[in-house]
Amino acid sequence: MHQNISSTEHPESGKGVPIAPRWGTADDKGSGGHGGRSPPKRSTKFLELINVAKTFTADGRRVEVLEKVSLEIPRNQFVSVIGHSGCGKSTLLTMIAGLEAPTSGSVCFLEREVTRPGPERAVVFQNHSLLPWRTVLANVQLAVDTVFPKLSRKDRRERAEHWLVKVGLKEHLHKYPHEISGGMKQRTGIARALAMEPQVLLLDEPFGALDALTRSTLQDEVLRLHQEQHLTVFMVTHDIDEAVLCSDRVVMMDNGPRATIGRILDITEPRPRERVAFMESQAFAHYRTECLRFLFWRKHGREPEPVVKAVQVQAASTASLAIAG
Amino acid sequence: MHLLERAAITCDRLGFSWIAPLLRLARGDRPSHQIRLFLLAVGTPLLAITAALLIWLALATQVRIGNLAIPGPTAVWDRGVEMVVEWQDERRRAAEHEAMIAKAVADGLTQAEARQMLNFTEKSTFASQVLLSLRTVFTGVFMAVLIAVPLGILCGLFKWAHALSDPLVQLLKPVSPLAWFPVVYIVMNALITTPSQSGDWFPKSFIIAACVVCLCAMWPTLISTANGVANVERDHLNVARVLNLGFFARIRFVILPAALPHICTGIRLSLGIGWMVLIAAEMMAVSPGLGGFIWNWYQSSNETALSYLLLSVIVIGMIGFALDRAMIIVQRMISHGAAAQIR
Repeated sequence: MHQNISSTEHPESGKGVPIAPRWGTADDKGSGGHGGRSPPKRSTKFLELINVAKTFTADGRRVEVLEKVSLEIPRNQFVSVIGHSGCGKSTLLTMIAGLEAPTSGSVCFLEREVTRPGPERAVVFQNHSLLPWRTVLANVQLAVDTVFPKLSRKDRRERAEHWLVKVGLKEHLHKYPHEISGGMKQRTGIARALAMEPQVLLLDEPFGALDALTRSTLQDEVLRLHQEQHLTVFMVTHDIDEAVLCSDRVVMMDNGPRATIGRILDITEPRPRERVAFMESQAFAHYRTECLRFLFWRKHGREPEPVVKAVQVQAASTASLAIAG
Repeated sequence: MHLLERAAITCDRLGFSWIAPLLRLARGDRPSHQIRLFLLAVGTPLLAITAALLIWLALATQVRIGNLAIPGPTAVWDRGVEMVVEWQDERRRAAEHEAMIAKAVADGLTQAEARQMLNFTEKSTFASQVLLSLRTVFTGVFMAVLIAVPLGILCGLFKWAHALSDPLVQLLKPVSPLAWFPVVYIVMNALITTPSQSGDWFPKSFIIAACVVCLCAMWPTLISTANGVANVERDHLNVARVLNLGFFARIRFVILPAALPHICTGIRLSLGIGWMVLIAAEMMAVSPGLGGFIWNWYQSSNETALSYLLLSVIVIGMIGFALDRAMIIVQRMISHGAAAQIR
């Protein structure tokens, strides 16, 4: 039932542990929580996917996108999902958000089944989806007004401004979405999500459309907010570096259809993480290689050529890209 | 940004693209380029109108159809001037009348007594007829919008509502105002039994004409609204869902604003149709509006009738054009996003 719960302990507890990534595979049964072990100290499970499957029907054809996905995410953990396109990783996110219901199995939040969306599970959408007829402030204001209707008008306004200042948009409160850059739009989206004061932040390829510089700034921002606000983050991405840099756990999806969790990689690097130092470290290269190996394996059905050093893998992947290009 | 440049951009956005080059010219921004733009924007329409007038003039002076002389542009212009003069005279008469009443009141009569004694009925002039026509078309289209927008929202939101209404809409949409008229006429005659009085704000002919306009003009708004509502971006609806917005909040904060450009396009089409339908409806209802004006001259054996009729055709065309431009301006003002180009 509950596979892949190899890292139910608090991410902070892994501090200073030498880098020894543990694999959690789909076949790895009963390694935590259930089975013969004594129950974990925390009595309520925070966020849990139990044997989730999703089937879409389009034009009379049934497409089984996801199958047997089970995952437990403890409070305050940063989880990323990577996988080839079409593996249903975004579908997974929409089910946690409650925007779509699983065909079978269930998503549980604080041990209650998720049946509909709610502000405690805020979503930052892939293409920001700001309401174009509202200013930056008014977009965030709508979230504050609906989630905290009991606060006074002044308080609500202050709250909306507070979050916008926090993501660095103090100067752009009264601009319309079409007047600001893509990065600022995404920041507004993040501010809107945070303004709901959610317990879980769901990020759907949040920085995919941004340039590298903006992306890294926003990644740092999200990491900072994750630390500050004690958020639990579930991020869908196709950027391996981003996944490794940000996450406590990287969930790797098999290829669809009937995709399921292939492997789970624990990133035990302590927080707060120093971007450059971490990315230059042996550990980072190792994590990155593991992810690449998995994706390579899923794509070509075999292991890549054995490599001794991570650097070589990087070179090889660059070379293959060059050939492909 | 420079004030003139800002004004120029606003003019561009609102569809007065011929003013913008003048403003930029005043700023000294590439004069030859701006002059060319201005000539293109103003010169070409002017050229077309001049050409049309010349052809008309030639036809009027050269061609005779039996006994019928075609009135030329000058004759129609004279009629126009005549109408304006008539309107000013009538204004003066009304002002004099008011002065007399004021005097009578000063002499110790009450308002009502004075009005009764100095009986005055304002003669209907061309201008007052145009105003009445405008009032009728706005009333009719307003009623159409009041009915069509909520229905359209319902049809856009719910498949069943669309399935229910679609056959009816498709059936009623192509019905001509001339077919509606007798139905509305008979129903309204049965409904309104009090005889209409002059000076009455809603005489029967007005109500009938407005109802016919409403019946014919509501369909574009209904269809456009339904389309706009059905095509609200999925992401925006998802935002509403994540926020747990209620039904009415969802309509107010997400669906209506998103569909507003579509609704506006629908209203613009409705107004166009309404203005076209109105003339026919007024002619049949013998309303003292533009349609009534045309009807009267059509019935008269006066040989200048044709010039009055041509005048009314031109005025109807100009008002229709002005209404459309006005709606485009409204549409541009409310449409969001950088590039909302509507032609």
